[in-house]
Amino acid sequence: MSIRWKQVTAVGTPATAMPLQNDGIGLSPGLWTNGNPLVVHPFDNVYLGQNAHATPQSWSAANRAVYIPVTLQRRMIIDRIGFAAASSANDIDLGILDESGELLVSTGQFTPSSSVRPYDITRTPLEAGRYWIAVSCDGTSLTYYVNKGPIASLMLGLKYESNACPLPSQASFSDPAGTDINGFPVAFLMAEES
Amino acid sequence: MIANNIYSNQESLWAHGAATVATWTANRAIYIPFHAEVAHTIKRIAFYTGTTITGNIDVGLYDMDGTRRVSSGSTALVGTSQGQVIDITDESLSAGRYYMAMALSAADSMRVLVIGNSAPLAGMLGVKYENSAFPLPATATFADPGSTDTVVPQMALLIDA
Repeated sequence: MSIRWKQVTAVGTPATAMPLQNDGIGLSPGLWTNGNPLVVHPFDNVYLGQNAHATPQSWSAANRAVYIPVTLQRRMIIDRIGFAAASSANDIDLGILDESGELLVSTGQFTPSSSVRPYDITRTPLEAGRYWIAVSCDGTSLTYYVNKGPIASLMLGLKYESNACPLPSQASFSDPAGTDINGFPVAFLMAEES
Repeated sequence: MIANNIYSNQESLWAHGAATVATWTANRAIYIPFHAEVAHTIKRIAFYTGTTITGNIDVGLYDMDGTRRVSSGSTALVGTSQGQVIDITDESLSAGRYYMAMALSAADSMRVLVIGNSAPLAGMLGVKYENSAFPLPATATFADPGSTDTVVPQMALLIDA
């Protein structure tokens, strides 16, 4: 079965970006506010934090990477990674890690647009399983949308790494501080087909 | 299906991130039922403290018959208004129903979800209480929530070390 989602263009805020339309088979990647946001359901693209978002925040520390755990319940081929920037500043690097922290694919460093939009990556087949979506930034001028909070980052199972922009080939995970309640960046994976 | 973290109250985490803080009854345990759809290995348990902490906490997992599978033992709370995570002995759960449990030694405050304004709603979710249950007992003696018991603590069962 093949699924192809319509290309997403730059749109305003995460709230207005969703739901997206699809021109393929399967369910619309609509909003799911009461399910587990870190579990990906069949036929959905991977959206995190789409149900609501907080006021844009500045990146918390230069060269910090934030790793967001995500579970794919079926095989998907990912060809884009999305990010919700609220300003165009600094360089970011977006990537996907396997469960052990090995970097599978990344965009490489670039300055993001001030919008919610996907960025191309090498087509990457992912089997069902657990992965990390990685976002790193080399400065603190960037503002970005976060999942609605406040939510303790460590309760979400997020991991951080310092000196990690560009993303390293092997992540070295550390826990967020208990006082870090910024939620997580609005980031998403887009499936070309599966 | 693949194992993922488990949360005590999805709604309070995601729709109401700034959940209510409530004062605990000292030495009370609260048992929150959950359903593991697939096998999990739980490695850590996380929670969020309130504005007052003076005592210790104990968190754990129970079978539905009240048999304790694992607990952290009495552990100091590290600070107010912040997330805290406690390592436990890795506990492998088969698919099925279990309770996650939290007990506090003092009348401290924790971030919670308030389930309505009357006890039956908490009871309908299967939440159980036990007084004089710090540290968490080897065998729980479940009691239904009382007339003023309407809260469920925010907890997360984490599968990543």
